[in-house]
Amino acid sequence: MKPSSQHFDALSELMNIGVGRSAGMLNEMLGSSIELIVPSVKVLALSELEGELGNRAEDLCSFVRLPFHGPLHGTAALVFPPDSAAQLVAVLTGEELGTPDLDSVRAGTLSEVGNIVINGVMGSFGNILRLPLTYDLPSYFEGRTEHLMNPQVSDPETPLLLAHARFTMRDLEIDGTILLIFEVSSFESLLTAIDQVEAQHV
Amino acid sequence: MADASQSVSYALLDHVPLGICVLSADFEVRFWNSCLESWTGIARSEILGTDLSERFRHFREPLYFQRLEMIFDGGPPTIFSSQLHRHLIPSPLPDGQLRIQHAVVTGIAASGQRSDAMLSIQDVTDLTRHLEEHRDLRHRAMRDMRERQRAEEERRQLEAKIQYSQKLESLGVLAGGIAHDFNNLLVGVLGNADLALTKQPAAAPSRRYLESIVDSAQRAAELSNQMLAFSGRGKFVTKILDPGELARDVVRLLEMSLGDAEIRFELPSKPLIIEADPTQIRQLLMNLVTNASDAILEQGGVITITGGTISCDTTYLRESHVIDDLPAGSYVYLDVIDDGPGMDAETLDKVFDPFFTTKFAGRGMGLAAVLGIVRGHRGTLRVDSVVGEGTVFRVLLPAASKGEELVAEAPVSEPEVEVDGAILVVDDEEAVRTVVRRVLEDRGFEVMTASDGYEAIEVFGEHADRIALVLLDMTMPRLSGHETSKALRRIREEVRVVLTSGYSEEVARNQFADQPIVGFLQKPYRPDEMVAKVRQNLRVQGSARV
Repeated sequence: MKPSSQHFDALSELMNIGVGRSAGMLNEMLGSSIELIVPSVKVLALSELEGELGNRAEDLCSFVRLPFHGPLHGTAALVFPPDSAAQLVAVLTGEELGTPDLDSVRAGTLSEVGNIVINGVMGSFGNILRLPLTYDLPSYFEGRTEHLMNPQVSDPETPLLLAHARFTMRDLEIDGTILLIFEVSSFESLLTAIDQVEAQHV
Repeated sequence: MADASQSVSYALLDHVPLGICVLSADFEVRFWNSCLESWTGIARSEILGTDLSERFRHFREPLYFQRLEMIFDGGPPTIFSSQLHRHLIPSPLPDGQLRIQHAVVTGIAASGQRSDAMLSIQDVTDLTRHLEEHRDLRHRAMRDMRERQRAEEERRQLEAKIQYSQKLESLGVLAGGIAHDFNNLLVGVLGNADLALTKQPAAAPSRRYLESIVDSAQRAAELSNQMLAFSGRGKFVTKILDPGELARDVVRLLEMSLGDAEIRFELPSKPLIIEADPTQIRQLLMNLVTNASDAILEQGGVITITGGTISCDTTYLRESHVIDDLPAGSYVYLDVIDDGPGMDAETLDKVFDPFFTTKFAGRGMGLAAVLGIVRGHRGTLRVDSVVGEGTVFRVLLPAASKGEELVAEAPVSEPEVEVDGAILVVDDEEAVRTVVRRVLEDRGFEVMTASDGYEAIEVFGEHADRIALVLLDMTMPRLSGHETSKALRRIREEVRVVLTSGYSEEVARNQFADQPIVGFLQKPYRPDEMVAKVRQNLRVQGSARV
């Protein structure tokens, strides 16, 4: 089953709803308004992921990753460029900017922020699509986009369905990207679930 | 309601070294393990079946409540990090502080529609304190390191400034020495050429060769003057003046040589007041405007001259090009801005070095002289240049106090009385003695010469009553001009001395601070200039007669 433009639109809307929900919580934590940039949804190969997200190969980003299972398999993630990650930790904890190494403060803080954002999105997906999903514990790592996927997804040509949305907090100079990557085995279930929801609303 | 398998699970969780609590969707406590009993002092029997949010009110706050609600609705696990919350279930330690906790909340299937939430709480107090200690140590170490780096950088910059200053000093001494000797030689060249010209008939073919000699010697004298300015030994007689007005004068003088350059003045209506040597400030402005004009020569462009008064702090002054420590305060600035091709960093670094030039026909002394003049006036310079956009030279000179006012020069009009008598020319340069003797004798003066101080004393001793004026070189071997003057004064106290030197008047007057001199003649001088100076000093105010 190939995703249609209606599927892409529906996924964009789901992302929008989920990120909007998360934005409210982040807003409360940071006291700063969050601007969402229209989500994008597309099918692409694993090898194209890095380029699609606009990350340079040498960039080490901060990731909070939440693998999910059930009718859908994939990974939800929040990605912060290094400067934004440092700035976010500084705003939330009062830690000095420019601390060069990763420490538990940074990891703990970013994990929780990532967790809030991802949960908002995944909660929306689960609720609206009525799919019983199970989740691993969220984890934090610093690395490159290629390390984001499950180790078993290693073939660079593996097709993925990527939904991603950028958000920015202009006054704090923080930006990040929320990713939802569905593995190929999930396509069918995902698209069917979307079709069912749409059918109920027709 | 817990079934049998749930009871087994709870039994397993009862003894793990984590605080475990299970909440139903209405926040009722369904499980409370022994670790939490120990941490909180709240017995399981006391808390089971009660509303946790009644006991710990923060669970009703949106940040906790909404996220737990998502768990009850089957949402993903939620983290409450120790960094952002410190503690989820307040648990005092023996020292009275609360345990620092990191919690993960996961949904677990329950008998009803909604899930239960299991709070798994790790005590990270020791770990956090160690990390905080480590972080404090690291912050201190990093602060120390940054301070050391800053101190090292400051030391390096200071050393570089000292080296640059020493380089300028040495080059200044060298340039000043060369200019002095050069000026002595030029007296001979210019004097003899001028003398020869006076002896030639107007139509003589050789005149143009002599005129060419004079022209070249005059350009050499200009170069020598730039070297003196760079050395800080240029002529230095200060007065209160408006550099903006001088800039307008300079542009009028240079008008013909500025080609297609458009000159714009953006100067305040009120005069800018500084105390400075007008000749040197003119020279400085001439060099800067000429430099700007050369920069835009090929494609034409605009030269803008702006000015004003600004308050400068020591940081601003330290960032400037001149390395001397200058006091904070009010400075008059003059900017000469061109929209030429600009300079790259390498050129910018050397732009004030003497004899550095990027021009085919340049001598590289113009901006070096600007630097010398600015330093001599206890001012400073800043240069900003962007390749492809242009260059701004900013000259900063100490503003004169408000009480100072511009004073127009008024000519002295007292009656003068001509005195007669011989002129004693004292100079170790034979060429200078010869040419001065020839010129003065040609004009009808009686001339005696001496090749050094001892000879001068001897001649003056024999003819003290006949010598009306001594033209005395300042720098001579064996006996200096200063010592010679003192000796002459012992022979006749009211001896009239006109000092001549290849160094500046300021240097000369400093050396002769205890010796009255009636005039100063800067080498190289033209015959007419020298004769005028002699005549001027043979006239005395009132009726006195030597």
